[in-house]
Amino acid sequence: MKLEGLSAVVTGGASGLGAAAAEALAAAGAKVAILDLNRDVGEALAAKIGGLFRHCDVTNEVTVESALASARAAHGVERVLVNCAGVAIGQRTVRRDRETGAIIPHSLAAFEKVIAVNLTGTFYMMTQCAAAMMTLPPMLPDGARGVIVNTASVAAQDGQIGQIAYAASKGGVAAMTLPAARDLAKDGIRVVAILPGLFDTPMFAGLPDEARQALSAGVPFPSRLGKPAEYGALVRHICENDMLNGECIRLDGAVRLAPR
Amino acid sequence: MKLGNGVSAIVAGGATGLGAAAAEKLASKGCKVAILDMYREPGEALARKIGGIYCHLEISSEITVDTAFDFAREENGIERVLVNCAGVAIEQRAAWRDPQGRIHIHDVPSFERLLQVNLTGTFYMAVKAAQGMMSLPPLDNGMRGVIINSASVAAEDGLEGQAAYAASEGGVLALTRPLARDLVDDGVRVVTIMPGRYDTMMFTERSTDVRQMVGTTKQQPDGMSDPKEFAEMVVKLCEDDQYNGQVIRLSGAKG
Repeated sequence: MKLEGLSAVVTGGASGLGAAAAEALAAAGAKVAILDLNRDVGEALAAKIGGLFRHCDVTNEVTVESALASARAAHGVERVLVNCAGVAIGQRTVRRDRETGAIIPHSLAAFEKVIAVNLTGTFYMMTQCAAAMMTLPPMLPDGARGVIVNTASVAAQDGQIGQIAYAASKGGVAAMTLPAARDLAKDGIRVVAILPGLFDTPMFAGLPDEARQALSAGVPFPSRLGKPAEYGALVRHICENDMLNGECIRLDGAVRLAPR
Repeated sequence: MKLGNGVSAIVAGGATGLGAAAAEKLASKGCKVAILDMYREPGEALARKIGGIYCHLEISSEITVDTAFDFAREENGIERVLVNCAGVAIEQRAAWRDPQGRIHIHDVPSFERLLQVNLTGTFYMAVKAAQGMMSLPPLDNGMRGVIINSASVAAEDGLEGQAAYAASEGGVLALTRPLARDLVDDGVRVVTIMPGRYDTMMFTERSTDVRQMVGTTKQQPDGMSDPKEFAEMVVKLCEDDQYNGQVIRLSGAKG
């Protein structure tokens, strides 16, 4: 699928991996709508890449629908959806308090929050955009209508200590890739997931240099944090390569996450 | 970990299907089994048959989970074995066209309900059991207990209409390793089984189309497997301390 002139929606597109995807798609000629919670950063990036920003909370159906409606009014119905909106927490299944020895279980509310944003949010965006893509005429002789790129994580396969909620949410995203691709195959809509490893994003921005070096050392090659632009390049390639479908792609420099 | 000697075991979803087979097998190994399930009648009948107890469970309700654990522990002592088999399945496509050409999308409440039972339910049961096991003294080689989750092969190769089911079981698959890693210092092991097509209620309730598609008897090459094979696997995983953090596909290469 050629991206020139197509309408694209990127959730979590204000910063990090989402911002890199938005930039890569804009550079390929797509009209990009950035959907994010972070208005200031999102509007600045939209201005820079000639796209638009719409405020959106992926756990809130009303904001999703109004953001999509207004993005479509400006750019037309999207042919590309990139889901990058996500949150991470660190909490062990059960932990012993160092001082008191008390046994403290993982908060159920915290688990549910991560699932709501990362998994249900991705799912809801996907169904909304797929339904809209189905109203469009096919673009290519083979019936291609659009593409959906979801962001999981290598934690879906090798979650670390304290990542039970995050891993569960990303494992769900990875697992629904194939059935979603099968559901939408007849209508020419592809679904692909990326499992990024350790990337230099705001999730890691607060870390001291020492910790960043330790993280980098664990990546076999290239032995550094991934650049968001490398993620953006893969998103662009997935859009352009019509044979990629129903697959989960690790983008990680061969890293396998250690227990801690 | 040695079974028998009155080791206390909890089987969620133990009234029917894979859970019932596991409950029966654990009881035959000498465990004190508590069947936690929403289906009271078959649950109580099976409990009587195997000399265990039945506790009512609505896995998506935190309070009934807590109460069921309290009751099971009062009767049988704190569990060293948890088998998580409670689960539901639905079939609905992510988006589809009806014969009139109207476009429909998967409804969000069904998706959320499935996650709540299969994923959050499994998570919460595991957290509760781990909390209990950590309060027990370790057995030989420092072992305190074992948690066995049931996911599905749909976690790896979901069919059309299984986006929600695959997402929920894929979540269980993905949480297995961090769960095992979180609990390794306290001698609690975690293993997940991904069953293929078993001759259980979850299957008999499904549409005739699906049943015809995969065959109805286990004699057919791509047909169904026997829940007893699942139960054998559960016992093996309880007894062999080498299994920790794994995910095991148990589908006889069918489908």
